[in-house]
Amino acid sequence: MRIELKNLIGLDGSTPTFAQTYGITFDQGVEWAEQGLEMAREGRLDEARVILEGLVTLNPRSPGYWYALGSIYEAQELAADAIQAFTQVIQRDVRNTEALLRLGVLQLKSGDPAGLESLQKVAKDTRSENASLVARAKSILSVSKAA
Amino acid sequence: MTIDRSTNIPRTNLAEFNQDSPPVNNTTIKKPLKDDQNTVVNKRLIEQAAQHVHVIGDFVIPKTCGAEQGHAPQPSAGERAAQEAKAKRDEAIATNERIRQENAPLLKEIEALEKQAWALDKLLDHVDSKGDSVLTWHEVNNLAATSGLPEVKEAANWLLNNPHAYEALKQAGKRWTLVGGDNSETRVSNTNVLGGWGAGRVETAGHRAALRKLIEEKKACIKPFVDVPPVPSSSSSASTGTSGAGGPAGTPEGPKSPSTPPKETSAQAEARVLSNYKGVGPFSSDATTAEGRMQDAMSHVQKGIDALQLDLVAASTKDPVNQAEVMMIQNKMQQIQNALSALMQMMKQQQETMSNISKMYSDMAMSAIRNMR
Repeated sequence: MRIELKNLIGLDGSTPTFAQTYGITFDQGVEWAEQGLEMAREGRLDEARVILEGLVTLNPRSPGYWYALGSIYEAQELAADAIQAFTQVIQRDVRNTEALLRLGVLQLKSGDPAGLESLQKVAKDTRSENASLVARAKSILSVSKAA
Repeated sequence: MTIDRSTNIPRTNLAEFNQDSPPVNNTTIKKPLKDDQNTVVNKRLIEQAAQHVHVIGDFVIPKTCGAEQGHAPQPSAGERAAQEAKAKRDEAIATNERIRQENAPLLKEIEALEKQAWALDKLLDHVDSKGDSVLTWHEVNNLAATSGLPEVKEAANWLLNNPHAYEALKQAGKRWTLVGGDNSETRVSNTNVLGGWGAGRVETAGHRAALRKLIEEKKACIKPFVDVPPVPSSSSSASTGTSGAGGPAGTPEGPKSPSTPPKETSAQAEARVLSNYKGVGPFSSDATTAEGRMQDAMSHVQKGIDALQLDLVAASTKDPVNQAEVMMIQNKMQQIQNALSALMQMMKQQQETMSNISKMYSDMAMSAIRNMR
């Protein structure tokens, strides 16, 4: 695993994160994250990953960084790392349906039946803005059931 | 921008998420499996189904990043303004420090030239007063030993202690007075060159003028310091309108009373007690790698600790010892040591996660130094 959770300072909230220790604000963090994501959009995934891994090290309690990092891992086909990242998102933001869908799909691709459970949670989302995600999850579930 | 902070809607590219994915069609999947087929086949089909979903769309940070948990609190407008003012001040101080370093060789040169000019003036006064036109190394020695004029004596001594300056004067003004340079050299009179005392004085004046001109030219090359903004007020009373224990409204910065003796402010006391520490200056690094910058930061912090130890020695050897000053230094040392520990921990963390935060690292190190100063 590229990031060992046990090494992250402040992950569980019992100690301050590096961002708190060094006075790095949300705006600063997002600015750096945007730079990293811009690299990702340009196809410079390795560089983007370094930036986002750094941000997660700075503040492992931000679901946003985990989500962005998970997307990069996913693009780089680092499935296990991506699953860990999206799991972190869900732990901190249980209503993040998109992360849940991505997690479910990745789990299924890895042969983990927990993916079905994740997708079922997505399918239960009643928020209208997530209708397309719900439809996608139901579609995959139907195929999976057929299988 | 990919983060829409005005809404709560994540700007993940949902359209691409759905449109780019080919529809999952049961016709593309083999018909349901019989119960007797093994689970390996089931797993393969599930994977096939999942392959139809191309999740990768735009790279974004969802709105949940807006939760500022784990970050330092956002500064208020007043704090931000104060931070910006402080940053400008720090930058101006750093710029002045750089200018000071750049000017240092020039200032040293000017100082030497001015000393030469001064010595020239003093010794020529002596020459004038004696009606002499020649000054040998022996005479310089004699002047240093016997002159009753302190400034002449001092100038002679200075020349003896700075033979390079003597040589320079001799070379530049060899047509007038100074001769020798070593004991073996014979006296050379300016009369040999210019044919008379009066002519010698003219030449001497020309040399003095040339020397002054050279000094002025050098002075013109000195880079001026930039203006350093005043220290921003740490109190928020100005922005909030609340008043603390300060003076009456309308005289926020005026003297409280002309009869009270000027009292040392806490900033002045700190500057005095932590004089060595303050002399360490702001952090800067020319390193091009994150590790290099971090090493520089640690080295800088170590310098701060060393300087504080000097301050501590100075404070604790005073008679009587001011315990408040000692405690101030000890507190500062504790802060710095905490920062050093954090930096070391950060380095360790960095190595363990094998992540290189690149540019951020420099910013982090500088933030750390700024915050602890």
